[in-house]
Amino acid sequence: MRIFSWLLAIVLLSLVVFLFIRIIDILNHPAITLPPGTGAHIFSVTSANPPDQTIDIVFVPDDDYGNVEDDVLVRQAFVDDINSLITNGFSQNHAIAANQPLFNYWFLTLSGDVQPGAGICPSVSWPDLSEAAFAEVVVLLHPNSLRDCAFGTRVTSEPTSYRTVVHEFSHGAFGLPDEYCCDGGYWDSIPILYLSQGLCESDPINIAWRDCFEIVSTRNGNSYWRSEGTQVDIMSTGGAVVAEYGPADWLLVEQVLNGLGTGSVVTPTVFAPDPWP
Amino acid sequence: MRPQRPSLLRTINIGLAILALLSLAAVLLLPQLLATQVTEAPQPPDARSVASLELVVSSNELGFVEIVELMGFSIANSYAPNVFDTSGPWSVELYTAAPELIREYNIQDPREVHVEEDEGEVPHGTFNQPMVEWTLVIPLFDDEVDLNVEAILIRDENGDIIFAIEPGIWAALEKSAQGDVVRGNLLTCVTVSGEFAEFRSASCSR
Repeated sequence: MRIFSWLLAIVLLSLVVFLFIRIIDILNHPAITLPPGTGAHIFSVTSANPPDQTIDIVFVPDDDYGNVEDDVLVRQAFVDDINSLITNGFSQNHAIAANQPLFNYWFLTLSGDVQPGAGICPSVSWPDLSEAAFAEVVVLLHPNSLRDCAFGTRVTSEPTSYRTVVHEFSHGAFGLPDEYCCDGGYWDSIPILYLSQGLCESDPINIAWRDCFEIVSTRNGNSYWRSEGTQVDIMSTGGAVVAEYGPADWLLVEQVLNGLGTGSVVTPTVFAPDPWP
Repeated sequence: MRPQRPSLLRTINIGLAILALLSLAAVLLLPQLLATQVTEAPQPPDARSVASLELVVSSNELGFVEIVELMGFSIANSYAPNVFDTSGPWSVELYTAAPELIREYNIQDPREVHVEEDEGEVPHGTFNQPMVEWTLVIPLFDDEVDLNVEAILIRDENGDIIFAIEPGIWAALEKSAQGDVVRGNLLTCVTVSGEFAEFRSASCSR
């Protein structure tokens, strides 16, 4: 009985000490409020390295969140949504999770606006993004439900569109093509897509996974030959699951990550169609 | 008195257990990042900078780019997006005034729009916008090394030149964009019936 009391007391003390350290950490933090007068509107969610050594994703709040700049509760709700998107989206992809220090996540306090549009895509007003010039991808997060669109490296998303965000991010940050048939964005992107069957079937790079099949674009009538047979990778499949990159995708992702110059790129142990974890 | 000790201890234990659970809950419920605990994005420690080009791209019904207009130009001290190793159907070429090619890199087709599918089998539908506003951020440095960019070209998926800023025009834009965004109809590049402008051709005019 007495031992149990001591154990409980130790656990309680540990937790209290942890909370105390956390609170001191918060109080001592140099940016406990957004720095006044600096003109800065872009802040870190997680950033391990400077932007020239990382892939940088900047989240922009929709004005439906409220005043992210001045209202700390509104800002907390926005930051919580970003964290959820990182945890349930980006971190569910093994290649991204394994190379976490090579990815920075930032948020802007300037709001944009996403409204249902006259056409299939929403009407989007972007705020001044000049402070986010270093971003590989900018994601405008909106809490209301509507059909989202991606415009190059600018994406609109709900906070729970985990798979969609990772797919669109992969276009913008790594230049991965679409791999589903038949209205996607395709181009000569070896070793993922080739311009002929012969090129696909004779490339020694893809021999480990080669299962060449033709995609005829309904948008321009051109043929592309995809080297991966699986339809279950992040660039091929819809649905809710954040799938993995295929081995061909990884070679282009790896090329970009190696280009960051940190020399610390980790090759994932799992490729599509296998799930991770 | 002796029978009361276990009862007292039990009460203390229950109290401690409740406190421990409450503390644990407090620890678990703490947000991963407190919104009061954020840090500013860093500025580069040196002169590295980017050029931002605000462009409007218009295409014909066959999908060929017809007109590219430069509507805004600025140069800012900033880190650049890491674009030199990405894949993409279009390309950007950076030149010195000579002109000598400094860097060539690939980008996405900015006209392409991906439309989210609701739980569908494919990731999204895709279409091209006939007219699109597009901000192209161009790195003027590679890490801390000044690339001395003084002209650029943009090629489409066919390798055809659809936009060019010649050295003289780049220098003029750079001069007028010192610390500010220059706006207006700064440059218009016109391509006709699939016969595309050559670099330094008269198809781009101010």
